[in-house]
Amino acid sequence: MFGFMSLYAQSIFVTGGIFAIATCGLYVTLAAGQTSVMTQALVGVGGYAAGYASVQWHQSFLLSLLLGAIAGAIVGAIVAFLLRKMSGMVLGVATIAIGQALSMIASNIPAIGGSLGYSGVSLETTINWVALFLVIALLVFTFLRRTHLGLALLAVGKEPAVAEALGISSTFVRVWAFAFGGVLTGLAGALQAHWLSVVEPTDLGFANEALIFMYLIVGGLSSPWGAALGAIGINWLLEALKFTGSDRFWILGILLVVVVLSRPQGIIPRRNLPAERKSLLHRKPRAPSLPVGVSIGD
Amino acid sequence: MTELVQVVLNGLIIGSEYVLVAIGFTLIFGVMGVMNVAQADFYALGAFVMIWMCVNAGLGVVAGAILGSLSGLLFGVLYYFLVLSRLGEKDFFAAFIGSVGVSYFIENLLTSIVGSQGEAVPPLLPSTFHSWGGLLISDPQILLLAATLAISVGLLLVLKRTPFGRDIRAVSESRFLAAATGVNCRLVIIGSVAIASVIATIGGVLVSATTLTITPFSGGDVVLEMFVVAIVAGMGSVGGATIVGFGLGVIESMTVAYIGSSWEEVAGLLVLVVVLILRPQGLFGRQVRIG
Repeated sequence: MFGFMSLYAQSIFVTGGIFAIATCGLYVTLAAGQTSVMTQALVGVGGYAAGYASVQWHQSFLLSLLLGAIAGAIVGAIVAFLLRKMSGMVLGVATIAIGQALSMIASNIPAIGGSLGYSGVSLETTINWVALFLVIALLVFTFLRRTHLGLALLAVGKEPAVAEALGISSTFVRVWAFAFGGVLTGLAGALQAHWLSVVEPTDLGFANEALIFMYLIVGGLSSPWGAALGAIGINWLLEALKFTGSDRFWILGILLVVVVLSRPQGIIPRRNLPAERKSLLHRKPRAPSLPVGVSIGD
Repeated sequence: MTELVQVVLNGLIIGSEYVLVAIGFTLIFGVMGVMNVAQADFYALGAFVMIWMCVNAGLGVVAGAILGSLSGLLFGVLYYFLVLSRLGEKDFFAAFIGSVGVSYFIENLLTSIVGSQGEAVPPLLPSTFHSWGGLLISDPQILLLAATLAISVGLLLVLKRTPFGRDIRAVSESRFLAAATGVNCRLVIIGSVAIASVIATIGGVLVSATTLTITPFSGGDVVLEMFVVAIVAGMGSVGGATIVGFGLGVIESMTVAYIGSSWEEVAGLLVLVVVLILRPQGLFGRQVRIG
């Protein structure tokens, strides 16, 4: 289906698409108000799970993808439960710490390759698979917003106190937010494992985490489509930079800062619920104006 | 017995590094409410400026060291005016991401300039090891330890005893009320950022004098410990950061000595997670949490 693209272009799309899926996962977790800065670690978890499953247990491609996604979900849920009392930046820092810890634990376990990483995973991922899963991920979003769970996620993200008052258990939602994010990022990791044939512990570290946030922020925070676009776009940009022989990755750092500076509406995604969105199209009703000299309550 | 003391001593020296970076980090957070990830990269910048001054500009080692340390003033103020001032007031998450971007920028810019292997640092003091009653310590290490103690005690004195320090404490408690009582908050914040950056660059110069090498990612290596120290101590607590910073160094040293070097960093992370679960405001933190 993508025959019109050269193999080189296809490989860019694959990398971009894999991270687009992971970024969508981050988007879900962030939309529920959970600052998760360990997306990269969950990608790695999915990658290790899928790689191990396909090499040691000889599972088929699709099954190892599933296992990668499930592994990501489980780890995400456990982390969410452990950190359920935290929120905001403290939660973010705790997730950074856990992500680094996972990276270090991975490099210390000889059974999965130790610091050299786990290699020998079969090369199965093609651009068709990536495109398929990306589309599925984006469609899942569209339908998720219409479910109770999806609305609960958004509610906790926008107004946690009100959501709690309405009886939505924020712990429940947090765990689900991380689990959902984990499913997608684990899936992305599994796809990556089958693309690169190797999973390295450094992949789980904080260094690549900044990139993922870049995709999300530059691509636009108000929808997962933006996240996907950001991932593919920036990967293309990275390749273009490498192609011109320069190693000017610091441009991306500037890009991130510039984007952050020029988004006065803030960083946290505020995905509007359907009812609210309609009202943005109409003017806000003005309070009835009183004639001068009259004050309320006289 | 001397082995244990040696391990503790090594830990204190490792901890000095963490203290110097974390003090600035927690100071900026106290005053602005911003988690400045780029703090650790200023630390590396200080060492690099020193190298450039010595190697490229041909200055003496001492002059290079001084300039490297003071470069923090320039970087800190630049950073404030270009980035922090436009972000910090509105949105703390945005400032955090912005600082991640600046960190990425600094690390990769340095890599473009010097390559990722790292550079040798001209020695500030000869690395002769002394032996005091069986304990090994070298001149640069003594300098580092002494400087760290001096800086942290000095900073604490400034905070507690001087008018500027009082203003800093006021702004970090409540910016609104501080402004209402006539404190020039902007000046306080700029000053705090400058102080924090200088401490970081001094740290970079002194620590690289002990290890004699620096890479563009030396900052990234310290980032995690910086977070751990600042959060375990309680964000905004300078004295706490000092104690916890040394403590973390000792814990890491003991982990390496008695458990195994590959678990070195995990020890700190475990402490962080445990403290966050049990006492999220940090060991010395106030009850109220920002963020």
